[in-house]
This record gives sequence, C-alpha cells and structure tokens, in this order.
Amino acid sequence: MSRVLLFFLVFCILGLRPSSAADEQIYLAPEAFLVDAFGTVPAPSMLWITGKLQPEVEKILGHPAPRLRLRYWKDGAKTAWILEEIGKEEFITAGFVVTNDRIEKARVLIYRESRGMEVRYPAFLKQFDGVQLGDKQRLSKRIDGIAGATLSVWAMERMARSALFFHRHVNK
Amino acid sequence: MTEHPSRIARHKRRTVGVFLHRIHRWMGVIVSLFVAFLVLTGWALNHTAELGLARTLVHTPWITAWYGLRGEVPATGYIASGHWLIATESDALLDGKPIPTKLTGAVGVAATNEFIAIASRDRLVLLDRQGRIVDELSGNQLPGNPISAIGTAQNQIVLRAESDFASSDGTTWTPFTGEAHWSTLQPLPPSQQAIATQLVPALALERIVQDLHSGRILGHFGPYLMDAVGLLLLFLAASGLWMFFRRRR
Repeated sequence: MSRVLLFFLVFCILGLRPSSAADEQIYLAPEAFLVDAFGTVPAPSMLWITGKLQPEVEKILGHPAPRLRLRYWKDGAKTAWILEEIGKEEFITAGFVVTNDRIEKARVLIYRESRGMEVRYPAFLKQFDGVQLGDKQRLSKRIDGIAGATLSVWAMERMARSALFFHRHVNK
Repeated sequence: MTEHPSRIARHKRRTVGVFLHRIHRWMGVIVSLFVAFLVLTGWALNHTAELGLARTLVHTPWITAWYGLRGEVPATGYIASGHWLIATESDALLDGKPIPTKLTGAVGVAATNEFIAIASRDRLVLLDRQGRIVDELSGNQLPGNPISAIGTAQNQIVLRAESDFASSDGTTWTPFTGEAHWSTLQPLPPSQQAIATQLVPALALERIVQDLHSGRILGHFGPYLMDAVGLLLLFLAASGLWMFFRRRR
C-alpha cells in the first residue's frame, strides 16, 4: 500500500511546471467566417486594449486581455470580432458579428479543449442572436448552459460580452 | 453407520462457506490496494480543473522515458538585443520564461524599439518590452507561409517566406530587398544552458493520472490487469452477498 501511495506521490511532487497541450478542431476558418459576415471583407482595423480600456475588459473577462492589440472588421454599423478565451485549459476561438449593438451572429471557429465542443452547435449559438449589453456589461438575455460544457459556455458568454463592449467602444 | 443426507448437505454447505469466507477475506485484502488506488486517482480525475492537472507538466526524465519521450536539451538558441529565445519543436522560452502562447517550430527572434518579434513557421508573435503579447499573426495576416527566417532592418521586422517582407508593426507588409540582420542559431552561454533544461520533454499530469487509473501506464498489459481487478471486485460482491443471505437463513 505504502509503495502505491509513494508511486502516486512521486508523480505529484517531482518536476512540475504549468503549461498546456491539446488538439485543435477548426470548425470554420476565420477567413470563411469574415466572408460569411461581409461578403467582401473590409480591411481590418486595430483596437488597442490599453489605458482605461484595460480594466473594463478585465472586469468582463475576469483576467487581463490575452492580447494588447485586437483586429476587427467594420462595415457601416456592422462589426466582426474574432476573439479567443480559455474554456477550461485551452483557447476557444469564436467569431461574433455585431450590428446596432446587438449580436447578429455567433460562431465557434476553432475549439481546442478535449470536452465541451457542444458549444459549436447552432442550437446553442442561436441563443446569442439579438442579445445586447445590459446593466453592468452583462448580456441582456440569459444563456442556457450545456451539461458538461459549463466552462466553454461561460467562455462564450465572456467573449459575447467583450464583442458587444468593443463594438460599443469603436462606435462611440 | 451412514450419515443422514441432510447432515451431509449441511456439512458441505459449511465447508463451502468456510472456504468462500477465507477466499473473500484474502481477495478483499488484495483488492483493497487497488480500490484505494482507483479512488485516489478517480478523485484526482474528477477535479482536474481545480487541481490544474492538464496544465501541470511532469518533466521527470524516467517518467518521460517510460512513455518513450527522450529529448535533448537544446544547445543553441536565437538572440536579439540581449533577448534569448530557446526553442524545441513544441515549446519555447524567451529570457527563461515560457512564451504565453503556443509556438511550434520557432525560426528566430527579432527586436525593434517597440516590439520583440518571435517567428515560427506559421505564426508571428509580437510582444512588448514587458513581455506582454501585443498581437499574433497567422494565415493571411502574414505576408507568406511558411516563414523560414526573421530579422531586422532599419527598426523594421523582416520576414522571409517566398520572398522578403518588412513591417514596422505587423499590420502592413511591404516587399523588402535591402540587407537585413537575420536571426540565426547561436551556441547557448552557460547561464542559458541551465535555463534550457526546462525544455526537456514533458507529459501532462492529467494524462499520467488517467493512465494510472486505467492501467495503461503498464502498456497493453495494464488494462487487462484492471479487468482482472474488476473481476475480483465482482467476485467479492457475489461472495459477500452469498454469505450475507446464507447467514440470514
């Protein structure tokens, strides 16, 4: 018994360092998402998440933005955002099209987690259609979760809130 | 003198009962080790997120060797303006810290006044001087693919793909024809050699615990061992039930 426990403890104690690794599933290429959103894709613009924007974004995400510079695409009242957020261990890449402060379309583009990929299904994603930013930068509508994919659902919600927040910011 | 048939049957039942009881006890002792082991590993797997098992890498050489992962510590790296990039095929360190993004197949590092740029075959990562990620470029955001080299010229980042392209901030790229200072592999100084030891092959602790739980850590034989333990548990359940109901009669 003590040998077994020792064996287990050795694994837990020796040489540990944080990092990550997983396979990625591309459900929709970012380029295809943009073509789908705009037809003719406009040139990308840049949004710097610095200064006063940083704490606001951190409040929505619960952590600092993964990048300081964000690409977005704008055509009239419509903007498209390709965002990344960690579900459980890995980044989920999702695309959001926002028109007139409402989400027009949400898509999961690349999924890297081992579980929770059900967030890519239209039945889940259509819940975001028409959603806008409400009080305290929260979504105006409750998004129903998926059993076993809770962290991915939360990541999608955070990205949706970010997209709406960024859209509002660049349209001020 | 012949014994009454009912006494013979009772004697037989008692003998079988004693035998079964002994077997049950010994099986219980043997199986208890596995049960405790399965419970511990099962608990750990139920809480992988809280325990950070998938993010925790085990670098212990004999464990990685057990899995057939034998890697060498890099002896060379790339340097730009005093910033060292040490990379393997799957991991990379900039100034001794893991790069906060996935980078496979690093081809070099370049530094301008504003950015530190790290290139891999299919990605360009721009960091500010504090090591925060400014941007990551891939696909059609890059002037070409795959990238074979990175360098600097006149405070611009220069990338070599099918031909050379230069950019000051990674947003727009223009063809480049001048002389660039290309990032090339350099032998690591002793201070960086010590840092490079962090890049030995590693396994996620979650994978190891999963393999311990399923028995796969012992190779093809492991799952059969766990199957046998399952059979023993089934036997314990059956013999336990048998003894319980026999006593009640």
